[in-house]
Amino acid sequence: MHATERPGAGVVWARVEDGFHVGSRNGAFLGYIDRQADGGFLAFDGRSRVVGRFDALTAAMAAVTNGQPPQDAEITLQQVRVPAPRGLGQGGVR
Amino acid sequence: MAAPVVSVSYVSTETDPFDDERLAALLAQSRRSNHEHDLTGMLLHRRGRFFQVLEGPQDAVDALIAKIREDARHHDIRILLRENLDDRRFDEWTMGYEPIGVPSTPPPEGFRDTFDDLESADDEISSRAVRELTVWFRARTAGDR
Repeated sequence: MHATERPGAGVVWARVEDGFHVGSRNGAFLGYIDRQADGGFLAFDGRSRVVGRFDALTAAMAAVTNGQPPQDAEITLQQVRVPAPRGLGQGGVR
Repeated sequence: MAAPVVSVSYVSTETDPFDDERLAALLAQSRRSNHEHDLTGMLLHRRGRFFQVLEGPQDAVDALIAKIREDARHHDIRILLRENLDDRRFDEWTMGYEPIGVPSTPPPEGFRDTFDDLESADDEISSRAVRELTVWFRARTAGDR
């Protein structure tokens, strides 16, 4: 049985130059973050596809670490949020 | 059947300081020679140190490494990583070069410094640094291809 790992466990982050950071886990390349001229952070996955733009470096790191899907990826059914039926669940329908 | 491709990454120290003119001459010479021998790769120069990746047919790479070891323009050559490749990583570069800045601040808390890791005696750490530089180079040159 495998122990449940936190998403960031075992991830190594390195700075290559100011504003350019690469993440790896167990020797495998996870993705990278490139700070933009406006101060935002563009996050890329292991195939160098953009996964998002973030105001904070930590948010960009989380996107790379958690394997956030690339922005141009097809949206799967699992990713589509289905609204709860009316009258069910705490708080009801607004 | 295509000849197997190997990649060799190394660091070295310049014997005398390289200014832009010397660096340009080195790159021109290297690109001519690599084109003739079906070699590709990348070069970085930072704080008097060179980092180079060479890839191509095994015999050609080994012959060039032997020649590089005899080149008086640098010394303290240390091979960091030797790999067999299915595909070249710098197939469009007879010798790619990108200027790289020296950071003016420490890395963010919890981050490693790639150039410190490149000098590590631990092969696993220095190999990871090689891959990080490869990622950086490909990202920086993505629009140039």
